[in-house]
Amino acid sequence: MKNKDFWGSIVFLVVAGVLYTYSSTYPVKEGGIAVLNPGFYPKLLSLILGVLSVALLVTSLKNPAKSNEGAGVLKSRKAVFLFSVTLFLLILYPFLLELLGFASSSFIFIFFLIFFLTEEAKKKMFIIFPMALALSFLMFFIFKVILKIPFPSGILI
Amino acid sequence: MSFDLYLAGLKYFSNPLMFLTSFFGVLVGIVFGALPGLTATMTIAVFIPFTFSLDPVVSFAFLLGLYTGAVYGGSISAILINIPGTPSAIATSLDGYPMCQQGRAGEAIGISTISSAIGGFFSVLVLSVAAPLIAGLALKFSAEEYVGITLIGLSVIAIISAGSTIKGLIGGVFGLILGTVGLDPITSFPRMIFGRAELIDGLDSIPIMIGVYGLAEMLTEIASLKHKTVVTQELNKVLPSLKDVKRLIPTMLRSSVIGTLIGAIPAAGGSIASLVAYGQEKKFSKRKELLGTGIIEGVAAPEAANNASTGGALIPMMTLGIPGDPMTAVLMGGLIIQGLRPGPILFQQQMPFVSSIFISLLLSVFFMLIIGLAGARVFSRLIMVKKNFLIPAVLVFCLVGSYAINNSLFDVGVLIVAGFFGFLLKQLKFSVAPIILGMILGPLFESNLRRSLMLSQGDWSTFVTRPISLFFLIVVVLVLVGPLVLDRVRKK
Repeated sequence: MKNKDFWGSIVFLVVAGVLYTYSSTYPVKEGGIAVLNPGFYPKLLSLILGVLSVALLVTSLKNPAKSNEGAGVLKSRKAVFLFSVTLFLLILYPFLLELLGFASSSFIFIFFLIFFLTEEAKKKMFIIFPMALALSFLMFFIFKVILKIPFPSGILI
Repeated sequence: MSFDLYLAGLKYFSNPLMFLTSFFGVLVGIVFGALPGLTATMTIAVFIPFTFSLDPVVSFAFLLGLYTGAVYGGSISAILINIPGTPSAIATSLDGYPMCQQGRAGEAIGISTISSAIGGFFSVLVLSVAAPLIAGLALKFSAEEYVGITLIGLSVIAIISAGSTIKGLIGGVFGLILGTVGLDPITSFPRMIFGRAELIDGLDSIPIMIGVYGLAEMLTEIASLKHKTVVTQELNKVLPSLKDVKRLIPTMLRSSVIGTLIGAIPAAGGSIASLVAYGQEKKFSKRKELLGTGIIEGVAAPEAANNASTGGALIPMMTLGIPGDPMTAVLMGGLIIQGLRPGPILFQQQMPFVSSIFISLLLSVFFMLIIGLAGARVFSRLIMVKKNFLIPAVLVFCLVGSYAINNSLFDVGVLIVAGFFGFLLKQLKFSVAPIILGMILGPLFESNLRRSLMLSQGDWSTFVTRPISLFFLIVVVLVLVGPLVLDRVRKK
């Protein structure tokens, strides 16, 4: 099993390759010096990135097995579940914001996130619901009333 | 250089709002810095969008308050629960937590507060003297010199970031690549905008910074199931005795110098400063054999150093536009959002604003001293806030903050993408600091690089024929190659 550096170097090598190819499509001024062309600098960077990625690839192959010193992240089904729920709520938020307005979307976001993050033993609705309401109200007060941020107006508040 | 320079900013302080803002900034900074999982960099990043509507002088008073408060605040949880609230407090827990275990947490916090204040004051003095001098020098810099300095910043951060130097350099170059999104500064040709009008001015660095420092941290906490509550102890006496303070003077002075110097090196900041200061304490302290067991020198040294690095880091940021550490990189965002470009021109054209920065920093150190000593007991309760409530609140701050910059949901999208990739990069053991620095310095680097080459008609030797530029390039090589050579020498 190749270690993380190996995969990291592959990813950046691909990024370098894609960038070089893409920058090569930019217009080139005939007869002018290369530095004037919009593709000059991105191509230069992609070359440097490519060289560095190859260097990382080589060192990762020379020093393999430091791989499994992971920070204990996503090691259990619960962790993966919570992570996925959080990501889902984050992606959902902008859509809710536009549809429902700031207060409602923030309440939904906060409520569900608190609910999922709270340990089973402490998962009491009579604590979670008011806390979510209180936090949402605080956010509303700070951002809408005091800072007057112009949020999209949705069908609710 | 006349004294009028420094007094020019005083006129802003006839407005009581300045004091209120600075005080509030320090308070919020301490709270956020103390809470484990919320870093100082993240605190500043999250609040920048909200300063946009304020006057630049007031906004910076707030941000500097956050900066000072948060760097100090990290020591509170480092001492009480052995979890540094910010990376610059890592060394503080080495003696701070043992002191806490011995029932001397209050004393540790008191020492930490006073040392941070001494470090902070010292660095403001150095900043206010050195910055105008360096800005004067920098006026003589031309494009080649800026290329050299930018490379120094990128190589320093590559060396000091977690993970190998190669990964740091990859991060830096990737950041430079992200900086190419938008219109080419010379030909105005749109690069990598994928048809989106929002990208014409380039990727906004603020949502990206909030994403990688804020969102990614929270995602990591969630993914590692680190959201249980912690318990702390009651605090007894907080104010240290005069005898203790006298004993600490050499330590605090030495660490303040170290902190200011390291802060002034582009890209090296509080965490390095505090570790080096602690290391030096191990060499020079009269009680060095007791370090690690819970002695006041072990708290005073890193805390004086990390707050000293705040003023130091502002030197290259303000005079050259090169951030002295990740936090000043974010602070730069706060300047740019107000339409102010850091660099020698700022000193020429906006001297009252510059001097107001010196005064605001001084004020925030003063407020930090007062709030730290008076509020220690309150803060010790505060860090027990349950994570299952804190994390959602912080996430909403991140989301709203990103939206508020341009009232754009696109920026919220950028935030989420940056947060996700920031999380992934952490897992691949890539540090994000080089990427952020590369992004921020990218436009400066590109325009100066291309300008130099245009003037020299494509001749690359222009970078080595100019003496100052050559000097900077030699420094870059030394920074990158030096540690490798030292390693080889040591092995022999």
